[in-house]
Amino acid sequence: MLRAAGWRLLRLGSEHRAPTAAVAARGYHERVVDHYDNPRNVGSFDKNDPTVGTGLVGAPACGDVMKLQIKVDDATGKIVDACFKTFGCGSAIASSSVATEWVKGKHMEEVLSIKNTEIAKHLSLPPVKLHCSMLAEDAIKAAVKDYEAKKAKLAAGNAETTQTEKVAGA
Amino acid sequence: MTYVGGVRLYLGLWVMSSNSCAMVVSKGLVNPPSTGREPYFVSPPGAAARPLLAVDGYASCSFIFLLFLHRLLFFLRCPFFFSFVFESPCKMLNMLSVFSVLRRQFLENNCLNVFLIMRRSKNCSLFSLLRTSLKELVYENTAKRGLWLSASSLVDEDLHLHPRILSNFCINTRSFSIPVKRFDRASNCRGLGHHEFPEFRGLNRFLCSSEAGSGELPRCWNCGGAAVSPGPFLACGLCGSVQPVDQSIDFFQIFGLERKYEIKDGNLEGKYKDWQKKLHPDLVHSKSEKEKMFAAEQSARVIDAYQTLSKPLLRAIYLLKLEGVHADEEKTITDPDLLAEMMDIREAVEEANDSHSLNQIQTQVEEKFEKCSRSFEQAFKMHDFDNAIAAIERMRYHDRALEEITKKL
Repeated sequence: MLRAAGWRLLRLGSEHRAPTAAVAARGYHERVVDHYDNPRNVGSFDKNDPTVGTGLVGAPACGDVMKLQIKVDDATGKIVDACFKTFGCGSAIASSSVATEWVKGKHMEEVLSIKNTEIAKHLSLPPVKLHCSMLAEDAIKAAVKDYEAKKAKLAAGNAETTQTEKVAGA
Repeated sequence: MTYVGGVRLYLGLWVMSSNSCAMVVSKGLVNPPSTGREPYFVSPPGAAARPLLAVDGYASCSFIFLLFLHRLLFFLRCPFFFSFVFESPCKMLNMLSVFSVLRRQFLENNCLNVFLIMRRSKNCSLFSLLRTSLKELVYENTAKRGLWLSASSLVDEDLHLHPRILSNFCINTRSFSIPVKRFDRASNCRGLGHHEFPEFRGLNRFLCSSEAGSGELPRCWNCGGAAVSPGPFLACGLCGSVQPVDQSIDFFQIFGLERKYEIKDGNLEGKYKDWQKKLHPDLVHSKSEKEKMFAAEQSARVIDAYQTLSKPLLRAIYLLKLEGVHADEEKTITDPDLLAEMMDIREAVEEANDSHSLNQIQTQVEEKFEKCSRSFEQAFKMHDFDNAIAAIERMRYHDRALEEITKKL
């Protein structure tokens, strides 16, 4: 009886361990599942905020949409906060989540060097899902580009207003 | 004369006679009349109707000789070999006559008829001897080397020849230069089984440069009957056997529709069920393995066709694919209007929790999908493939949104 109880305990232990291992080998990688179950940095910032850059990209082949927003500190050029919103498969969601995590606290130039292969390796994406990591990389670049465009427009706008003021003053 | 002695005498006479016939026949072949180098044209269909049993000079001599032999043996009271002796001259006569016609057709550059004749002739012990003689003839006339290889591969019926090898032969026929190595491979691998009909048709179309040759109807592998009814030849109308899959028949042809985006009154479901009544694998469970395989492939293809044509987005992608335009590229787009619109829709779907608002959103999205659909149709008619691809992208996004709504409902 004791032996039976012992076997049962052992079997329970092995059963407990086996499914997770099986899931990891068969389906999504545990990191992807983790990002899906515990989403980090989901949300959105105000689009019209001058310190916010919005990157909006889509993959027409699978109908995915990804929005990645970064909040940049004007003085230092560092990214202080990031958030994302993705409609698509688990791999796409996980890729954008990882992108927001990596982007926080980095400089804008540094962030442009994040490659999709790194994201894919981190999440152990299968070849068929590599385009999701590509999408994340494109989203980062689009966000940075949007922020720069905003800054340039603001600077041009400021220059115009100072000119008109001077003209008015004179 | 004892019985045993009679047997020996008969056998000796038989061997001698067959040797002499063979010699006579091959001698006739070694010096063919020289013909000019003509291109591979198929003669008008009338020539195909030439009777096979045209008696040649050699054939008639050997026949008379054998008849005399038969009489002699009867006189010598050897009844056992009665039918045997009588049967084989007929066989030989048939063989020789077939071969004489074959030789004539070959020398007249009548490729198609050569194939037909060689296909119809049965495997016979003399045939291999005749083939060897024909081989000599072909090597004399290098232009036909490729033709011979294709013909020999078609005729041998024992092994399964991979269709790719046959297409290699087709290509080499055009270039008129075949290394000896390839010929050895051809003589080693024997036969196409019954898969030769699609390849045969392909070969025919390749070699014929005139329209008359391509009028050849596909034939059933089982009963040899030609396709009688209009429409794609997926199952034989005469014996009911399922035919091997022909990839050149596209999905629209299977359902008898024009290659257009709009299918009104297509009655897809009715036609689909009709096809399955003829092609479903359950109908052939008692037939040969080969036919079971054909049935499985054909019915799978019909199912694919039905699913592709019944959904507008898949139909659109398939239409573009038939035109050679690949719409499924994995690139990222940054069109702000479309993406912002889709974001809004998807967010609205996420937030809506009651079926009423979901239905509202659904109607809106369906309207937008219809609009994209129309724009695709326009673009496709004008052969404006860039706009068509853009329209497909929009359709796909809306389709995704509709799927999400359906999931939530």
